[in-house]
Amino acid sequence: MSRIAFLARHPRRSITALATLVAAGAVVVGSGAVFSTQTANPSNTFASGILSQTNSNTGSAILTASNLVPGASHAVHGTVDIKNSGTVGGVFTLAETIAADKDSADGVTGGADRTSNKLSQALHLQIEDCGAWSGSPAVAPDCSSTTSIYDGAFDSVGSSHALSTYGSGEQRRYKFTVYLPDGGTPGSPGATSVGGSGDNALSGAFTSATFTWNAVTN
Amino acid sequence: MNRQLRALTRGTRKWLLLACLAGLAAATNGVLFSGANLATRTSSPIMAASGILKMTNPGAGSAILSASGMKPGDTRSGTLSISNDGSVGGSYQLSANGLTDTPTSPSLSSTLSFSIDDITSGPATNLYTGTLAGFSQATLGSFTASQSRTYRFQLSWPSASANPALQGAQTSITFAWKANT
Repeated sequence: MSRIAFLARHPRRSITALATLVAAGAVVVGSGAVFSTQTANPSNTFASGILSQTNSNTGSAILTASNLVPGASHAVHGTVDIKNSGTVGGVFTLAETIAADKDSADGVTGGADRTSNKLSQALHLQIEDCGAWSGSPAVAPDCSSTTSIYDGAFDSVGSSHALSTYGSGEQRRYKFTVYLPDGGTPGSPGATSVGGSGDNALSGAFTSATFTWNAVTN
Repeated sequence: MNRQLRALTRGTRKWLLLACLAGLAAATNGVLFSGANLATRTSSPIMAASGILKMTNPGAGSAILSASGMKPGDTRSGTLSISNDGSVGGSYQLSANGLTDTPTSPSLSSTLSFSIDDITSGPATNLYTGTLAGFSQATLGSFTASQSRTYRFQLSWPSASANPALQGAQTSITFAWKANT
């Protein structure tokens, strides 16, 4: 006996079976009649997010420290604002590349390449997170209360130093501080500080480094 | 009955299709692209250069003054200009060393009056007045980059100190200029 014939002979079981199917089908199947109904959620769009960032100092230096002399009291500061201008969040990291180490005849610009007593290996660098811009219109943090991101040798930030996860539209300010640590008075200074011993060996030197903010979706 | 079942089957397929679409939509809501690695970057430089402290002493290696044949009542003087030709300012200091006297007692250096004045501009600024033997060092102050100052060194033999034992006496001293940032 086919299942169809069996159900035809036992209408109560047919009704039970149909009721079960109706329950399972929710609003889809109404009765044994050929009524049908359906709902739809049209126009579903699937678009990828956008991760982009703006840098307040793109193309310009975060800081330019000219005529540095030994001592933390002679530190030079600079700030940069990084914004996640995309539509999705992103994990931000910071990378550093030492671009040059040169002699400097004027305490400002670079000259011939320097192979020893490099300024990049002597400077001290501090990077602080001043926090996010806030309010409407957004106001920059004043950096009076910061979180240390990095505090160490100028040339050792590395290629992927962790920062934080930015939400869409989040903008943060970073404070950079550079100084030449005081190694004490050189023992035998000559007429010029350049090329002497101790800290004098670092006189008349130039360095530059590039800091890159990388972000990937989280 | 077969027609009813076919209709039922069609309805079930549609329901399943809708269920699948709903599930796909839910999965797409912020999840579907999470495995992707959208990336972006920006860069900014830092430039730093250390300064240069450089002193120019045109009389380096030679005497500021040579006072030969002095006698009580005489005054001799010499001048010297010191420059900071570096790119940064420095704190300058003058010190004396290597004082020698012949004879050692009585010593000519203890008899001669000695003064150092800054005569760069305007009224002279006295830095030291005393005996030559009593001078050890003087603070000259800060020199800005490219600044130059002129100093006058003066020796006087007081007439009242005409000690015959100082005839033929000699004294010498070395002045050292030092600058720190």
